[in-house]
Amino acid sequence: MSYSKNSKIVISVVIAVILVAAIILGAYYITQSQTSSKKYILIGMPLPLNSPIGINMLDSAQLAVNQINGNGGVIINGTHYYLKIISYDTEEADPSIPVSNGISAITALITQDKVNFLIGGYRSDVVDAELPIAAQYHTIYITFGADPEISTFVAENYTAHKYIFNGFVNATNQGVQYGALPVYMLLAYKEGLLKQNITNFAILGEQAAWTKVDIGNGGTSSPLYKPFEEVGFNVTYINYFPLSPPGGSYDSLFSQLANLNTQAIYILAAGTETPLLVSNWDSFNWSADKATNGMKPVLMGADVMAEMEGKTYDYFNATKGGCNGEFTFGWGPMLPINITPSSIPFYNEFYSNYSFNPIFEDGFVYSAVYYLTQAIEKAQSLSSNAVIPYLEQTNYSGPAGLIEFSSSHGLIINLKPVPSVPAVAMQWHKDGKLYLIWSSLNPLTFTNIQLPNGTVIPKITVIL
Amino acid sequence: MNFFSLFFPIIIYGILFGLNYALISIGFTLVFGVSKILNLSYGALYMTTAYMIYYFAVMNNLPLVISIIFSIILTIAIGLGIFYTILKFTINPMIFMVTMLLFALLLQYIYSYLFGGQVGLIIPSLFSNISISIFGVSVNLSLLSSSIISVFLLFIVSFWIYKTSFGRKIRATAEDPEIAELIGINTKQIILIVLSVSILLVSIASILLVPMQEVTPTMWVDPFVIAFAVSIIGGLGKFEWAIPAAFIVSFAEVISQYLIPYNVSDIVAFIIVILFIIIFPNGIGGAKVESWIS
Repeated sequence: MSYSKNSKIVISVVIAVILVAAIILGAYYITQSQTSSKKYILIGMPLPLNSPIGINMLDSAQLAVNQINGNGGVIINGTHYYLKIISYDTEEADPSIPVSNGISAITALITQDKVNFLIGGYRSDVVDAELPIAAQYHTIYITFGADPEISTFVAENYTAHKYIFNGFVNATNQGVQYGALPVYMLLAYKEGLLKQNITNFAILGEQAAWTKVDIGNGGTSSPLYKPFEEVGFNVTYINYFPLSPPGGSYDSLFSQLANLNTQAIYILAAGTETPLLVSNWDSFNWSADKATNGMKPVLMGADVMAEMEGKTYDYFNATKGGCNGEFTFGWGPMLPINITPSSIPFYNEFYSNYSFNPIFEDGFVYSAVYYLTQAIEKAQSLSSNAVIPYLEQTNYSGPAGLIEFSSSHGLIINLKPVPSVPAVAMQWHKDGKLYLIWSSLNPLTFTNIQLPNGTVIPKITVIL
Repeated sequence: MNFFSLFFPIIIYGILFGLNYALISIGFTLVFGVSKILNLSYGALYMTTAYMIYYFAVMNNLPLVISIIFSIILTIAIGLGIFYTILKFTINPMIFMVTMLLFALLLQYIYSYLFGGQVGLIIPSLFSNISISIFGVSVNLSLLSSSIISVFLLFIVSFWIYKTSFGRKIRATAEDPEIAELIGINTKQIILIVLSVSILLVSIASILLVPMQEVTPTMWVDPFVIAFAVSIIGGLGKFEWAIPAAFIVSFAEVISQYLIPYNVSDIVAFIIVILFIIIFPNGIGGAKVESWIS
């Protein structure tokens, strides 16, 4: 049997291809078998992944996971364990979604996915409903709701509920620092910016568990009413705003505020309804407001959606440009700010990975992955019961500040000499960008404030 | 606040919101009138139009008018498709209605999946998003325009039902479908046309109102609740009473916002429906309701 020259070439090529394919397949098999032999610590994350809020939280956790895994993972008894996130979409950023979504998610994560630990949660009522499930299955759950009831839940039965940790600043502690901002800000307005006194405040809170701490039953009995009045503000209106306003518009609400001669509106909102509220604030004709001479009242407050600037969600577009001038308060390095040595590196790493800004929860979620793994390494165990004592001793300086837990597993916030977890404030400018203007680390100084006429003041210091 | 600071806002917002509620609800009531079936996927069709416009006008940069036409056609096709698909498998009204509701939930999940479940989707408006002052009350031009168009459409629908021969057939079918059949009215054709018109109306409502808000996978609930409340208050199937019923809902919501110190706007529609079921179980139109519990 003889072969032609061409046939020999073809046969050689075929053999070469088969050999290369075999080598690639072999390498793939070896890699796969090595991968499958890896040991994992499973972190379950129930999050509102239908919202940029949940996507951000997942991204910040994933960033920490990638960094920890890249450094060899977590070593327990000489074995390297790698972190793996299993996430569930609870859709909870939408206020119309029932809490049962969260309960189903957390139950599935524990019983089906067999996660070792839980990190996540956002909407307070959903988190509140999830807590008993995590406690029942003896699974550590570091959660990010702002409802003080989370700590109460632990305190009322420590033995049964010790698995719950609140990794975020609760609404009571938020109020302490948030309350300072309008005072300083309006002093700045009065003394150096608008040259006018702003006294008439309307306070609007979304109908949610976390705002009850500040809004209470509305009116003069509201917890926020007295502090505002005590520092010289006249609270014209304090109440919840509807999630589904009459006629799909907040105009009738703003009509009330205009007739009450409101000069500034302070909002507390974390849900998806605020772009409509803010868009309506902008398009509303304020000519009936005698105290502002027909100008829009100053809009400020904790508006979570207003922290979103980036490719997954752009609040400026969502409000049709109506957020121009809005001030929003939050926590952590949502823009580059030197809170701790890790704040700006975290911001830069986050932005370079995802092309959008972190939001208020992100520095806390990122930190949670780190301090949880530190506690696991100290405990040398994946048992929640073994890890809890070390988690309780957390003293972690993360991007958002110093993380320490109280006996009821809430975040300890020291205010002096400077806040251990400081509040920050940002403002949307007419160029469609978000600017850092203030932090409670340096409460008397404001930078880059845009006045209602569009002028930007680079720096102003309030003189008390 | 003095009397006029309350009077004009209540009157103006009550009228404007009421007109839009009537536009949202009239199709829902019409379909029940002729078919005796509550179209529980109605709100989902409102949402469908919004997502279609987002797909065509925002994602594919088609001109708004073209996007609107495509969206209306697709919404009608989907609405009819749902209705007649279910009809193929069951004629039991209860199973039919529950299946319609399941289709609404299915659409919610489909759009959530197709559009990444994202919140903050904005669709373009035919009108400017600025406000003018009428008697010292801020009125958004988009809201005003949609209200004026609502008046026009409600007039056309009323004329069609009460002044045309086809309208007589609709009323005859609504009154007694069996007798209508006996006198030669093709009731199946009537239902098809009325259903198409009802979907067209809810599509137009979506085109006019959603640009003032956001497109989300759960946005179908609010228009559904409004349409349902208006139908119960007006009397099931009594389309001539849908307009006054829409004003009852809108004025109740606006008045509660101004006069009740605690925020109850989100639940006013439900409260009124419960009150009407207790006080006027047949609605203001006096709909005949046969008892199914002896």
